[in-house]
Amino acid sequence: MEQLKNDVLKVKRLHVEFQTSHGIVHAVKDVSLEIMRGRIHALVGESGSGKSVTSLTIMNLLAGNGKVISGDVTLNEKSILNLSGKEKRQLYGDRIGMIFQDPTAALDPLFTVEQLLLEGLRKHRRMSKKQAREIALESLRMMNLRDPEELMKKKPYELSGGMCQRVMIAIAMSMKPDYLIADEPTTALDVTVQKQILEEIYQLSRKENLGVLFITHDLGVVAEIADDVSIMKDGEIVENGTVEEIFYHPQHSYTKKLLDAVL
Amino acid sequence: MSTLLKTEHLKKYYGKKKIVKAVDDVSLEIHAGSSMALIGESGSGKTTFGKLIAGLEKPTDGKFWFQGQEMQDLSEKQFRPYRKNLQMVFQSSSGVFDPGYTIGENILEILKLHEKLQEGEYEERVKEALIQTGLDTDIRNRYAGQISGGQCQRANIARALVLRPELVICDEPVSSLDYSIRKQILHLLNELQEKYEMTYLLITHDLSNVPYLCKEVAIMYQGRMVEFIDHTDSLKETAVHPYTKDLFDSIPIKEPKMRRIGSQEKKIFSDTIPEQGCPYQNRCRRCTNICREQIPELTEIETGHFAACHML
Repeated sequence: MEQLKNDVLKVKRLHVEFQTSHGIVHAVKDVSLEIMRGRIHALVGESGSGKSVTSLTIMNLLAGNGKVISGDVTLNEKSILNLSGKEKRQLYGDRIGMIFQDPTAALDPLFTVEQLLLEGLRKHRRMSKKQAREIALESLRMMNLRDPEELMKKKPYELSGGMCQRVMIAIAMSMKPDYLIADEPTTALDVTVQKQILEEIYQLSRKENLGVLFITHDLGVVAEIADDVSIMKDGEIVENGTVEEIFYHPQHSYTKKLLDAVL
Repeated sequence: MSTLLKTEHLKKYYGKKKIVKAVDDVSLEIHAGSSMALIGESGSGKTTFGKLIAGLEKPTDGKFWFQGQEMQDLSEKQFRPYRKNLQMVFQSSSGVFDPGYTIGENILEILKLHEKLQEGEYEERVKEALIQTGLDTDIRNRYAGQISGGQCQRANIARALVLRPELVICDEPVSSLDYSIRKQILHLLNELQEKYEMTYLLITHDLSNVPYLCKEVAIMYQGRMVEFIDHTDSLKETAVHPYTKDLFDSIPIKEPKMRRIGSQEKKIFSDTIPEQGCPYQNRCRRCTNICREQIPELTEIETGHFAACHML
C-alpha cells in the first residue's frame, strides 16, 4: 500500500455554474472531496443538490453551458480539467471509469455486448481480438453473469435492467481502472439485484484496490457499502466523515434530517 | 367489511410461440376501506395485475368483480362508468400529463369525461383536488415540464382523486422520488385514505413503504402469488416463503455496524424461468425434487397467512 499514498483523486474547492435562461445557477459551491484507492466514498444528497454535476466535472463531461469557475480536480496532484482530447481519451475509461444510473441509455442498442465490451479494450490496450475477448468474458464472469458466451451475442434491449447494469459495470471494470465514478448505479434496480451489485462493487474495491465515488440518495445503501461519506445540499458539502461518524454522530441538522427521512 | 374487488384465477399470458405468463392464477379479495400492498420485483407481473383490474388490459382467463359486477368481459364503453371509481396512479408521473396542455386542463378533461356538473363547479373540483394533495393552485396553469418530480407526482394523485374514486391502484407512486419527498407522499396517501375512506392497492417493489400505508400484503413472483399476510406488524418475522425472506434480507439497513456486505457466500442467480414446478426453484436455497416437478399451491398456514411453498 506504500506506493499508493500519493495516488489519490481529489476535488479541490470546486465551483461550477450553469448559464441558463433564468440566469446563472451555482450548481456546485466550494466542494472538496478525496477519493482514495481501495475505499468507497459515498456522496449523498437529494436531487438537485449538485452530486451529479460534481461527478460529471470529474469526468470532464459538463454540458456546454456549465463552467468551472474556480477550483480543480487532480489525479496524483496533477490537474485533469484542462487536458487535450488525446489526454482525455487516455485517462477516461482507462484509469477513471464511470457507470451511470440508467444502463439502458448508456449502452448503444445497435451493438452486441461483445462489441460494446471489446471497443474500449481494443482502443485503449491495442490487444488482439482474442486477448480482448478473454478479458471481456472474465469481466462478465466477475459480475456474476451466467453463461457469458451466450450473453456476448445479445444486444442491450434483450437483457433485463439488472443484467444491463452489470454489463455496464463489466465494461467499466474490464479496463481495470484505478477509480470508478458510480452515479446512482442501483437506484433503478430491485433490492435483490441491488444487493448483488453492491456486493460486486465492494469486492472490487477490496480486491482490485479500486477507489470508488458512489453517488446516491439512499442512506441504506451508504450504510451497507461506504467507508467515507460526504453529505451534499444545495451545491455545498455540509458534512463529511467516516460512515460511523455520519450515522452515529451526525453533526449537521441536514444530516440528521436525512437520517430521519429513511423509512 | 364488504368486498370491493375480487379476482378469481386471473391470468394474463403474452406471446404466441413463447408464452410469457405475466399474471398466472391470482385470486384475491380487496375489502372496502382497506389497503393492500402488492409486492414483487420487476417482471413479477404486479403492474400487469394492476392494469388488468383497471381495465387497461384484458385477462387471458379468470374472472374479476368490482362492486359486485363481473368485469372481465365488459366492453370499453360498458367499463367506463366503473372507471370513475377505479383509478390508477402511474409510476411515471410526467408521462401521464399531455405536455401540450396545462396540469389544470389535463385534470379538467378527465373530470368532464366522467361527470356532468355546472360550468363553475369543474374549476372548483380541480382546485379542490390540487389543494387536497398539498399543491399550490397556481400549478393549474403550469405545464408538466415546468414543475418538479415531486409536484408532478402530487398532481398525478390529484388527477386520480378529482373523480373521488373508491379504489385507487397506486403503481410505484414514490419510487422515482427522493426519500424526503417519499415520506410526504406516503403521508399524504395515508391522510387521504382516512379522510375519504378510499381503498388502496399499492403496487411496489420497495418493502419499506409497506407498513406505512398497508394492512395486507400479497407477494408476487413470476406472475404467481407466493405469499399473503393479512397484517403488517413484524412482517419480516412473519414471512415464511423463501422469496419473501430473500427480499427482506436484501433491504439495506441503515446501520453500518450491522453491515452484511462482503460476508456472504457468493450466489449465482439464474434469470431463466423454469418450465415446470415452483417458479422460485432456481433461486431457492431450500429447493428439492418436488419443487422441480410441481407448482406449490397457496395454502393457509395460520389464520390470514397463506404461502405457496412445498417446504413449509
